Order: sequence, then structure tokens, then C-alpha cells
Amino acid sequence: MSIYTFWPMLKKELREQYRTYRLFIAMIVFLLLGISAPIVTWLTPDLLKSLGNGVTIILPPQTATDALNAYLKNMVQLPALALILLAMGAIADERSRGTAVTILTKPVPRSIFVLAKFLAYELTLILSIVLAAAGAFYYTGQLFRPLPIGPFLTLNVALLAFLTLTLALTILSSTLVRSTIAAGGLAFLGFIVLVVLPDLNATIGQALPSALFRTGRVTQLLAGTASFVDTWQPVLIGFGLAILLIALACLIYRYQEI
Amino acid sequence: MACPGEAIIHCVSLRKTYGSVEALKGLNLTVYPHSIFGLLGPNGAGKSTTIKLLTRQIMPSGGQAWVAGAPITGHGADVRARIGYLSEQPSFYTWMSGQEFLDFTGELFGLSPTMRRRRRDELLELVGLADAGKRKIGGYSNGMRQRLGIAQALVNHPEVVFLDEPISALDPIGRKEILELLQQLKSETTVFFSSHVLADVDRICDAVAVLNQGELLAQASTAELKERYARPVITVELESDAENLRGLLAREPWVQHIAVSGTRASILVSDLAIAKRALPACLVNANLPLLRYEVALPTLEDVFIRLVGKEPDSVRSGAGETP
Repeated sequence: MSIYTFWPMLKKELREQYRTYRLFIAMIVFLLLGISAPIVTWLTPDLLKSLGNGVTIILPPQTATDALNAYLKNMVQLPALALILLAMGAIADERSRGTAVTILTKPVPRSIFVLAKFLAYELTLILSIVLAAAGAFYYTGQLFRPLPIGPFLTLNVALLAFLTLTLALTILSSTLVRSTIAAGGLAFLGFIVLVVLPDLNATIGQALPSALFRTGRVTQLLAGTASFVDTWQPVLIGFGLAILLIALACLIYRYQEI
Repeated sequence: MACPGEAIIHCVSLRKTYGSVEALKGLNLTVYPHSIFGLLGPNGAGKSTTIKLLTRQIMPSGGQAWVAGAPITGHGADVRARIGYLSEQPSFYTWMSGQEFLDFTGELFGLSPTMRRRRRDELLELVGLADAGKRKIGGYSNGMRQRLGIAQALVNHPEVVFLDEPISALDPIGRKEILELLQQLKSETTVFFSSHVLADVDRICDAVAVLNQGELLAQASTAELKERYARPVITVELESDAENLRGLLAREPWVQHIAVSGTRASILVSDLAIAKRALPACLVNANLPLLRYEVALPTLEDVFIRLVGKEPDSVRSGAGETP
């Protein structure tokens, strides 16, 4: 097996992220969503006052915890959709355009073809989350009070686990079908299941990384009362499921005709 | 069972089915090193399926094949390291330049940076893209992409290079240049290509195989095929209506078929030597003044029509004209 082809394939994928502006799009979307959470939270009382038309709306004073909850809500939905849009053509588009044939008739194992794509998008995701987190952390500190670093980092790792799972789902969908649009639709369907499932089944809800984004769990984390297992188990399950989905994508792609 | 010593490609009862459709029906084929081998057939004959099987893009439904000594279904030595491939419609990463793509291809074959640079420049020069090497592939014309496709198929000094319709997208000058290039390649590799432009195949191929509806109809050297299948035709042009020839030659044993068009007639003969002596005598005896008399040399097109029973797509569409 030509393992040495992994590095050139990964380099090519990273260059593609950079040259086709996917990296910048992801970074800008994530950064904007990251910094908008504390700013919008801070402005909410004034916004409601100006929109009240004489009606008095009494809001409890906005806090850093509210800003953090808004950040988590922001980062679960739109970034996941942006990720699906960016990665839905990763495999399907290469198959339909014919570039996959050009590469896979060279000694490149198909699993390396899939893994390089996944890792390149994962690196883009990590960079974008770091940017979003840094922006949210800075503005929350400026407008409210600095967030405790430990719980904030933990929540961002959980975000990474959740979005990695979404990315793996997108790559798997892209492997299953030839059409980029169909791959996007399939990934979106998977994402909906991922979001809705915790509300339908409490046990599954506790096991997925999104369990950590519930307000009660965030408060526990900030107060330092959340248990180690309750915190890290969903994160590990999120990454574990992502690895399983990618392994499945590699296996399916290995036996597909290109 | 292993690949016979001398053969570079050997197929034994190679089959491919898609549901109930048999795309390839037990292909037996042998190709020898340092030759240019042409795979002919109308659309849907199984040419692309054969190339896809031999380059491991798809797996066979039955049978076996060996390329450069390695079985195409084997998990051991990867035959892809020793072959080159150009698809019918080559696709590249349009954000890369020609130089970058060849460099990337070299990396996939494990070439060192120095080797890659040297090979990249050599190949760009060879296919006439030296001046366009730094330009983005997105800005290349179809012909330029085809040339880049040939260059990338040669990066690893392959033992066999598979080219699926390599000349179909080229203009007449481009076709001539690429055909010359393929002839040059013969000394260092084996060229296996599919085409429906018969005149081009006739010009450069040492051997050909004719496929139709997934079946191999014939495989031999071009000369042998012509000798075996292409029957000689004598064309005559008279001063008067050539329809008179029908009655005149109807009973001659060496005449197989007469096609008449105005004052012209094409006579398919079974024995050229006898026909060459007998036909002029017949015309003189019948007092038919002759304007033109021509013995047509058999072409691959004649062989194709004889075997497949219809004209090749290139002839029907007019794409088969050579410069």
C-alpha cells in the first residue's frame, strides 16, 4: 500500500482549501459568528428598548454566561451548515468531474484519498473554531467579564467534536452519491437527525456532544460542578462516531467503481 | 496462472456485466511490449470498459488480466505504479498550473523533488506546453488539456500507457503532433489506445483489436487484418452510364459486388490478380470508353465495415478526416 502518497494528497487538499477560498470562507463565517454572540448579547437590552414602542420590557442584566450560551447556539447551527456546503462536494464532485479517475489510476489508495480530504477539512475546522473562540473570548471579556478558561476550552472541544461529526457525516454522504447536491441533502438530513435525536431520546441526548451545550450543563461547567465523565464522555463519543463514519466512507469508497 | 512471459497485457476470458447488460463478453487479448496497440469499435463496443478494467478503475465480473506482469485483481504489487492513463475527457484541478499538476503527479509516484522538476519540464516540452506551464489549467483549451493529460500519463516512465480516445478532442495539427509523439513513445513504452478515428489508427498502430457489443471480433497486426478482411475494390469511371457494367460483369466469378453511382462503379473483387487482367479486357470487348481506373488499397476502415457490419462513427460524423 502506497502510504507515502498521504502527504502529497494532504498537501494538495490544503492548497485546494487555500486557493479555492474555502479556508477563508470558513474562517470569516466562524469568526463573525464567534464575535457576534457577545456583542449581540450586550446590545440586546438596548435593541429591545428601541423596538419596544413604549412597552417596557424588563430583562435581567445580561452576563458573560448569556454571551457564552449565545456563542454556543450560534456555533452549532450556522457553522454546521457552512461546513456541509463547503465539504459536500469533497468526493462526489471529484467523481462527477472525473478528477478522481485521474488520481486513483495512480498508486493512491482510496482510503488515503478520503482521509486526506477529511483531515484537510478538519484542519480548516480547527483553525476556524480557534478564531471564533478567540473572538468570542476577547469580546466577552471586554463587554462583560473574562470567561473561565478551562470550561470555555472544554466547551470548544465539545463544539469541535460536534462539528467533526457533522463533517464526517458530510464526507460519508459525499462518498455515497455522485451528485454534490444530493450529497449535501443527505448530509443535511443526517445533521437534522443529529440535532433532533437528543430531544427524542434522553439517553442518546446525554451521549452526544450537543448535551454539553444545554444551559444547565454550561452553568454546571462554569461553576465547576460538572462530573468528569458527564463532560468528556459525549466528547469522546462524538470523535469516536466521526472516526467510525470516516472508516465506513473509506470502506464504501474502496469497493466503488469510479 | 501468470502472464505469459513476453506479453505486456494479457486478458483471459475477461468479463464485465452491469446488471443484465454484458459490457464485455470474455475478452481474450495479448499485447506485446513496445508496440502501439489500437482498440477499435463503435460506441458501446466495450473499449472504455476494457481500459477501465485494465487500469483497475472497475473490477471484472469474471476472467483475469495481467498488466506488466501483475494481475489486475491482485492486492499485492500495485500495477498502477507502472502504468500511465489518460481518460476520454481528462479532468484536472483547474486551480493548479500545468507545472504544479505534473509536479503533484510526480509526488504521487514517489519521485524526488529534483527528478520531478526535470521530468515536469521534459514533459511540458514534449507535449508542446512549455510556454503555458505556469498558466492555470482552468484557462487551458481542450487541446491543451489533452496534451497535459498525455504528459501526466508519462510522468512515471510507465511500462504501458493507456489512452482512451486521446486524439478525439484535438484539431488536425494537434492530432498529427500527438500521433507523431505516440510513435516516438514506442521505443520506451507500450501504447494501448482506443479510438474511432480509423485513419489515425491505421497510420500508427502495429496491431489492433476490433470489439463490437462487448465481443472481440478480431485481433491481429494491421497488415494481417487488411489481408484477411479487406477485400480489394476496383473503381472505374466511364464516359457513359456505368449501369451497363452490372449486366456485363454479373456472371464473372471474381466479382463479388458492384456499386454504381452515375458514371462511376466500385467493384468488389474476390481475386485481385484475376480481376486486374479480366476487367480491362471486359471493358474493351464491350466497347465502353474508360476515363479512370483505380485499384483501391485496403484500409482499416474496410476491415472495420466488414467486421462490424457498419461504418465507424468517425466516418458517419465526418470526424475521421486526417490532415
